[in-house]
Amino acid sequence: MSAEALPLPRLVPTPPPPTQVEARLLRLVDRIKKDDDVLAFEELYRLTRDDVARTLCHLVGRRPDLEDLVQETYIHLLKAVPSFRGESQFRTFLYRICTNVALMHLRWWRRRREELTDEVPELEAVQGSPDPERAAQAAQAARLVHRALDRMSAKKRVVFVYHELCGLGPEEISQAVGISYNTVRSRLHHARIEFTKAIRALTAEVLP
Amino acid sequence: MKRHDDGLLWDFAAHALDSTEAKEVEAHLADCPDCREQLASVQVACEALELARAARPTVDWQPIDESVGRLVERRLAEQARRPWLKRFVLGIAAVSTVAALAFFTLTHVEPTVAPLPESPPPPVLLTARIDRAQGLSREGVSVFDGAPLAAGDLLETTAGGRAFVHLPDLSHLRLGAASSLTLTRADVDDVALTLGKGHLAVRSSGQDRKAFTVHAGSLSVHSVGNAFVVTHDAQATEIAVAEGRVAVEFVNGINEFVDAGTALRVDHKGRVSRGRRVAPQLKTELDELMAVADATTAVETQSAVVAATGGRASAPPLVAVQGPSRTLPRLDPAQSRARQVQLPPEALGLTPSSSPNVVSPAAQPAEVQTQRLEPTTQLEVEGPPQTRPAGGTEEWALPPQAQAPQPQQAAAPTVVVATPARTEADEWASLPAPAPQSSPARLVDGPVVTATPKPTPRDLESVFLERATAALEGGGCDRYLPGLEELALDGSRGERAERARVLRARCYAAQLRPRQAVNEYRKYLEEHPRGRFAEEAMEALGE
Repeated sequence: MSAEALPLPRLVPTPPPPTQVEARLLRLVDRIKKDDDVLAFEELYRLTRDDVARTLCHLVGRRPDLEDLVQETYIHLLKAVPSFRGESQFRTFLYRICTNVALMHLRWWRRRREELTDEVPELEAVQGSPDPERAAQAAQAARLVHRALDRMSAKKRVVFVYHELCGLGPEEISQAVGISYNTVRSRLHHARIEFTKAIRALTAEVLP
Repeated sequence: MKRHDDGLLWDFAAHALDSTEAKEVEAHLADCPDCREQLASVQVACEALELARAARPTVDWQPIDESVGRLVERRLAEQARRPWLKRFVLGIAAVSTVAALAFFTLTHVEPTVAPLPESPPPPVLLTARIDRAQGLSREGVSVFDGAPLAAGDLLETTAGGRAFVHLPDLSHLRLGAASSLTLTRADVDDVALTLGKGHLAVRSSGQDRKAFTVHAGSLSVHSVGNAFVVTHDAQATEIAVAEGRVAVEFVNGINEFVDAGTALRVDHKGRVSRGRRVAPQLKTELDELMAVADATTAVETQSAVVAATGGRASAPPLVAVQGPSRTLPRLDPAQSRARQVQLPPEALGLTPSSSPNVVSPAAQPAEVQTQRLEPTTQLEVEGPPQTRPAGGTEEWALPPQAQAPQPQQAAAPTVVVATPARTEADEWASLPAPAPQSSPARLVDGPVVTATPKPTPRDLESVFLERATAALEGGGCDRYLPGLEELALDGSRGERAERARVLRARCYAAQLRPRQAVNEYRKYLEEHPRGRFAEEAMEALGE
């Protein structure tokens, strides 16, 4: 099987938020910090909640308590906003909070998952796609990806998700996770190998 | 590409290599079947990732929206309370009230006999202080019994230490071993404590005040006239309630109530568990605290007697207030050491023969009456219903003289309870009078102290709603919002739930918070589509 046999769409990482969005977020943060304007926080929540929910879903997998994690993230965010110095993008700052919430949850989940039997939520259709077939494909692919991610350690998973699913570069990941650039590269390398193996094994299970 | 490199294959599959590198990889792939197979797997993985990136989870946003909304509301409420001017004015008002009360008390004292020998003026309980201390330090410096405390003080106990603290609002604390506590606010009308670690037993008084809050970890415990223990360490925070009921506020703004005899534990992961029993050790701590608190109160009372009869110094205003004492619900009577603290008349500086005549009972503060008449007098009677007078009357009599016990009293199996003083502003003071009875039966002749019956929960709700309505007119309905929400959410309360919801809406409207008001009116119409206030709600919603 050659490379040309499987033409794939170019895997371009998710583009960073447009400058206007980032600038708007920074203005809101400024209002929260200087004027203690909590209504600005509400607006910030409206602007970022979809991104936060999607990121958390990728970081922790499909969980019945995803809503709780989103809520917890914003509680932490409200407390942490005054400490945001503007040295990085706000999105990176937000991802750092998501990382902490997700890591705490993953550690807890691995201890408790045997006891919990709640139904996990399904994944929804592709954004902006009215095509039900593509939506079903996306949901199925997401389930497969999450099963593969579940086999990975939490640290590698975080780096892999940010790079491959959220489109962050190594520099941004190092800021969002709080590790060095080289550690990011190393974890990403090993995570890719593990992910490829896991996908191969899972597809072999599905298509023996 | 001279060797197998998975990283390069990922970049190649993602078309992220420049042309030179891509050609090298292609050349390698042409000669290496292993890498071709690996590339196929990588491409499958990349395709799955590409599809997965487009999917998004199903999220029920409503509870999250509400939770964030509550968070914002709480922050707004905190901001509203923050202005220093408001706090300053409130502080001045509180001090003025206390001074007026003290003046009123002094001008109405009529000594009937020669004054007792002069003694130092009694301590005015406007500051916190240490009652007993062992192994206690403040900001690293050891402190001893009687040391005054101020807001902002950090108290720490050693591994074998403990301390009993007396707060200006007549509440008492017991700080356990290896604990640290910060007196964030220690005012007459506002107490906030922050437990850094360790054990803290609290007997909070029933004073009317803005708040009595204990912060521990991510929890805030709100209390009004009850006894509880807070334990906090790196692993968990636990609240065990021995008397009354406390409200525990979580970091996300959700309130939960912990009733007497139960405990609530929140570990560092945020998991909440409830226990049905309070550990015996905690009961022991509370008993110890109550014993010290009662003994301290007795000493203060002694000072108050001297001041009242000598008329030289002002009595502690918050102690020397007339009126029947209020009995907090207690632990098992047999176990409560507080009940065993009965000071003889000598301990009060009075001889047994002279004590009944030193000061007329009517001219003395309630606490003084409590202590002086304690050996034989029942101020508050706790007992089974059959011990009450026939006819179910709610009015009981108080004998004027301690030396003249009446047969009726002896027959009734009653228990003497030493309790904190009740102030005019006590939260129970304005509860509605019981329904008129046929004819109140008196046990003995003499001045009658009417014991207010314990109000039923429904009575309390009614009073609460009335107060909330009054506060709405007065412009201070903020503090009633959580209670109104609790009432509004309970469908079994029918008309009261309906009224509570509308009061919340009106309160928000009065505070110029239209979004929240509209939200409340919308909830009202959902819960009571044909309710009494539906028209008002629809009008507010513009329907």
